[in-house]
Amino acid sequence: MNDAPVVSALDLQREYRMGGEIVHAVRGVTLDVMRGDYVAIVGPSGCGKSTLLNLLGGIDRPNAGTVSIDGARIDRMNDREATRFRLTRVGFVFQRFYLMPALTAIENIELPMAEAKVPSVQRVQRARELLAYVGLEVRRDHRPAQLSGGEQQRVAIARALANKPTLLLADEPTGELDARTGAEMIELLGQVNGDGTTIVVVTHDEELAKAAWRVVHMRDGVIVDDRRRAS
Amino acid sequence: MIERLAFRNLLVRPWRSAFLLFGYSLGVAVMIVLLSIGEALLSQARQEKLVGGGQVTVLPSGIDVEVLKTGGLGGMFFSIDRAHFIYRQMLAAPRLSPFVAAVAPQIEGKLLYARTLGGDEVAVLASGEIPSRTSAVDAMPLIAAGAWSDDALDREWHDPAPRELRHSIDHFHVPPPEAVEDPSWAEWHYFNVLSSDRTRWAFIAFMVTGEVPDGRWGGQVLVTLHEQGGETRRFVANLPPSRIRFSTSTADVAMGESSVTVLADGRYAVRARAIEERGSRPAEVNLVVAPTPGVYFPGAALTTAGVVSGYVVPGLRAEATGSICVAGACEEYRSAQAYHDHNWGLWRGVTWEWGASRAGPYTLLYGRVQPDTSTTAQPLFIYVTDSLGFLGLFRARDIQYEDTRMLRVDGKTIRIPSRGLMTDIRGDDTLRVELTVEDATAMDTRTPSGDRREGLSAREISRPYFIQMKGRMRVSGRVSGRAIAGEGAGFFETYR
Repeated sequence: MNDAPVVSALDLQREYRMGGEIVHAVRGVTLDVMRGDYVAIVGPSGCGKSTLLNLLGGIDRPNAGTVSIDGARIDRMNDREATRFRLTRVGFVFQRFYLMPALTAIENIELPMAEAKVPSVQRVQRARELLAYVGLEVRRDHRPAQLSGGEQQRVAIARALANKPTLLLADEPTGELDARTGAEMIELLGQVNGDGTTIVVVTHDEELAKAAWRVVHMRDGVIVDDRRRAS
Repeated sequence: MIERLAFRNLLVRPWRSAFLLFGYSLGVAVMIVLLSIGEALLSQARQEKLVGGGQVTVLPSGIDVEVLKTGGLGGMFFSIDRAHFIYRQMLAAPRLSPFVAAVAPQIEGKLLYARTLGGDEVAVLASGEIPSRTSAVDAMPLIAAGAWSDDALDREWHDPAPRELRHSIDHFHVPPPEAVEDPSWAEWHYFNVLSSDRTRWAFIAFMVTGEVPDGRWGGQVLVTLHEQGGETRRFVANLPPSRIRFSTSTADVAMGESSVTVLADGRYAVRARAIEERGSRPAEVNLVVAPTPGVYFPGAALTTAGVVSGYVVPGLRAEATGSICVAGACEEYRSAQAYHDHNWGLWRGVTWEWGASRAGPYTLLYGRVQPDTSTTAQPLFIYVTDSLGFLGLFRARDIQYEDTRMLRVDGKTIRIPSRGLMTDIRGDDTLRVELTVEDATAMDTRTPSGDRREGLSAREISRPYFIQMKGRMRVSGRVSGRAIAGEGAGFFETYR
C-alpha cells in the first residue's frame, strides 16, 4: 500500500423513491480506499453496502457527495464516459457471475478486452495468462454451463482483471458458492490483492471479511465502524 | 467479438435464437410502423396547411386543434363569434402588427347537404376562406385550374373602407319574429356633440318605432339641446311610414327632410329638421360627424328573457363640424367632441347604465342593460380603446354612485348622482373609472313625452326617472402591463 487513495468518497448520499416513500440508502458516507488495500464492507441486509459499492464503481450516481477513482470524478461523468472508465479502470465480480453462456471461458475473459480494442493476439495471450492465474487453463474451451460455480466465479474474476483495473469491486463473490469453493475464492482474491490489485468487497461471509485488511461496518446507510486488521 | 457472441448464441440455442430473432424482427417491424405513424403524425402536426396555415390557430374556447386536423366530432359546427372584430381589432389590428405578419380567417369544412333540383340530397363539404389571407399564411390549396383570388366581398371583409365598415355594422334591422308585433320595438341612430367649452351639448336621434314593417309604425326625429345650468329644449318631428326610408344593408336613413347619410369617406352627414316641443321654433341640424378610425364598438345583440336588444357604436370617438340653428340663430361647431351609436330592440321596462367618454388619449364605453324581469344585475362591461383601437375589456360589478345632486322633474325633486366609481381587476390588469357629474337632465318615463309605448297603467318601473348626465371621466390603471391614465368629457345615463 502507499498513501495515495485509489477511491475517495466524500459525504455520499443516495435516495430512492419507492412508491410514495423515499428510501435513504446511503446517508453521508465518507471513505478513502488506499492503493493496494483490501476492504470488506459488511452489515445487515438493506444497510446500503451494495448501493455504496455501486456508487464507488460508478454504476450508480449519488444524489449528493463526490466519488473519485485515481482522482477522476466519476460522479460527474456522463453514461458514456462512466462506461468507458469502468471498462479499463474498474473490475466487477458479482454474486451470480454473469458470464456469457454462449462463449467459452477464454472468450468470456477476452470479451472486455475486445471492447477495449485490445488486439486479438494480445488479448488471447492475456486471457490464457489469466486462465492459468485462476487455475483453469484446462477449462479454457468450456462454456459456463460446463463449469462448476467456483469455476465460473474464477472465470468471472479473471474477466474482471482482464483490462488490468486499478480497482476490483466484488459484491458477495462467495454468496453462490459452497464453503469449500468459497474458501478457494477467498484465497484467490487474497492472491489478486497480494499481486497489487485494490479490492473492495461487499459480503456477509465472515471468512471473506476476515481475509480483508480493513473491515467497514455499515448500518442504516452510514458507516458505524471502520477497523483495520492488525498485520 | 460481439459478432462471435451473436453467432455463438445462434448455434448454442438455435430455437430460442430463432424465436428471439423472429420476435425481435417483429418488434422492429412494429416499431418501424409505429415510428412511421409517429413520423406522419409529427409531420401532420407540423403541417401548417392542415390547420389553416400560419403559426398560431385561434379556435373557439373548448375546441381542440386536433378536431380540425381529423375533422373529428362528425364535422362539428362551430364558429367564432365576432370574427370580424377579432380579426380587425385584435389579431390583424395595428397594435399587433410588430408580432403578427398575417391573419387568415377561415371557416373549416362543414358537412352540409345540398338538395338538387331533382330532390336528391348530396353531402357536400363547405368551407370559407379569403384567398389573399390564406395565401399570406402559406396555406394556399393546389389550384387545378383557373385562379383563386379575392373578390369584392372578400376585400370588404378583411379590409373594408370606412364607408363599408359603417354600413356593415350600422345598418337597420327588421324585428325578429318574437318582436314583430311588439309596439315597443324601436331602432335609432343617436348622435351627440359637445361644444368646445363643454357648456352646451346636443342629442340628435333618428328613431324608427312600432311594429315594423307591418303594423303601426313611424319615425321620429328628436333634437335635444341643453346649456349647462339651463333648461332642456326638445325639438321633435314625427313622420309617417310613407316618409321614412331605411335599409337593412346600409346605415343611411331618411325621415322627411331629415336624414343620416354615410359619405364616401365614411363620415356621417347628419341633417335634422324638427319643431320645438313646447313652442313653434324650428331647429336645424347640419353636421358632419367623423369617427376616429378604429375606435368603434362592434356591437352586441341580446336576446334573452323576452328582451331583444342590440347596440353598436360606429363613432365611439368622433368629431363634428357644422351648425345647429334654432329659429335662425346658429351655433357653429368645429371639430367638436362627438359620438354616434345605433340601438335596436324591445325596451319595455328595460333600464340601463351607460356611458361614453374620452379620458385623455383613451375613449371608454361602459354599459349594462337590465330587463325588468331580472332581479340580479349582471356586471357592467367597460370597453377601453386608444388610438390603435380596442385596448381592453373590463367587467366592473357595479357603479358606486353618490346621489347628492338634486333635480326637479315635473314638479318633483329627485336625487341624482354627483359622482360614480367603477373598479375592476382582471389578472394583472386593473381599471379605476371615476365619474364626476357636471350637469344632468331627467325624464319621467311614465309621462307621455317619455312614453316607451308600454302603456301607462301597465308600467310598474321601480326606477322611472331616466337621467342623462354630462361630466368628466378620470381613468387610471394598468392594461397589458402598461399604466394608463387620462381625463376627459363624456355623457352618462342611469335610472332613478
